[in-house]
Amino acid sequence: MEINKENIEALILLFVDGEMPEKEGRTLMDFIRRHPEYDSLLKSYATTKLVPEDELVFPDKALLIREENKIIPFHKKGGFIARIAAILVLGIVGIAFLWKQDEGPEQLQQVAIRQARQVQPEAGPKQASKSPAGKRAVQNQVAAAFLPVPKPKNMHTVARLPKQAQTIKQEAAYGAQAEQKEIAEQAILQQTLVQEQNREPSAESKAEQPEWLSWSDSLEPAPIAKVADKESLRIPDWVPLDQDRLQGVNDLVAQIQATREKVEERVGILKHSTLVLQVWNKEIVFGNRNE
Amino acid sequence: MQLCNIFAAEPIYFKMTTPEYNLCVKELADGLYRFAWKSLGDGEEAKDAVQQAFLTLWEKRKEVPPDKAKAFLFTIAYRRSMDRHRRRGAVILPGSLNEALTTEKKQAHDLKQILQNALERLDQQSRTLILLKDYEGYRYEEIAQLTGLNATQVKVYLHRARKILKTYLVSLEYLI
Repeated sequence: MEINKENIEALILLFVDGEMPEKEGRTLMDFIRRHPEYDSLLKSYATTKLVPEDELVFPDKALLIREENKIIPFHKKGGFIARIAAILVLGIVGIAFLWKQDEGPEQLQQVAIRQARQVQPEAGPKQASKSPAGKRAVQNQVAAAFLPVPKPKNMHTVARLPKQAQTIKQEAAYGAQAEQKEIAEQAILQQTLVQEQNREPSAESKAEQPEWLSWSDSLEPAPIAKVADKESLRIPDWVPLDQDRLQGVNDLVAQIQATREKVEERVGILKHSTLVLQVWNKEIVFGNRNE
Repeated sequence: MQLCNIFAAEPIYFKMTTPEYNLCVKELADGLYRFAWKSLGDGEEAKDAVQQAFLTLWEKRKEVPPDKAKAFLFTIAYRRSMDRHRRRGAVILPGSLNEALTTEKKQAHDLKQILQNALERLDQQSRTLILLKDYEGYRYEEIAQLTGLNATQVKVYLHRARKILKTYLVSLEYLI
């Protein structure tokens, strides 16, 4: 490194800033020792170097300190009791989970089928299961039981809800029982209908429309039907008719007629009425006010 | 932008822990406060600057590696100082130093006090560079990273500032 009067000041500045390598620094010091006229220049630049004021400290340091998230170790306070409690809770939850997993939807279906089979003989006559329609119905029911049950959205699995599972079981049993009865009745009706269709209609029945099928707008009450009038009313033989059922139908017809009369009476009143709505001092009129 | 440039070259997989952050507070708060006070010239504003810098460090602790925390804090303080200076628009040019020198009270015999007075008459850029160099001992390259200047600019500004301070001190000595 060459030192001369042109670069001595820059080199002194680098030395003061501490940016000069040690070897070059020693060379500079040797040069200044040999040329004392530059000693004052070095000293004057050295005085420009600031000294940190250690007495100046930040007063609110405590405000900047952050607390760590406290984690309470499991093995400390009440460790033994806590561990036993945790093991017990986990064990119970685990056993309950495994136990409920065994009673899944498939098992519920099998239970429903079993109960349906137990109910089947009591449901109706033997012809129901022996007839083709009855057999088909039973086959459909069994097939439906084996099909996967569609799970609705936002619904927990049955295994997680023991009460719900029990309710489903009961509902399945009741449903199967009712369905079985219905199938038996439908089978009887189906059989009778097939027989009736196969029979040749008589000439009289072709000529006249049965009166009981015609609709009447008149307000006159319908004639009270009796079992004895079956022939006069031209009710087909295949229609099951007994005194109790006929009485029920007659009561129903009478009730409908009474209701119809009441409605017509109300309609007659409304026809001659005027509806007036008063909003503050204004009146809104619906209908003829002069009447 | 400078902060991004400083840390962009390194992968971000550091996460400053709370004890590391608290260690930064203990070791760096005083130095940062001194730097902020001297560069801003106001104790209360310096407190605000320090709190803001540490708050930013806490919020960015997942991105700032612990060994870069000091540079991060001083960069924030430096920027605040420069922003404040720009807002005020108060620049004392080196040329006006001689005029100020003639009104300098002669009782300022203490070299430390004289230096502080001289420092206040430097422009903001030169003052902060001197503070970073003398108070914190940063090298030219480090100051360049903090301030967004290049190392040559830092060197030039620092040498110019030292010449101004020397001139001030020599002239004062002559007056006294």
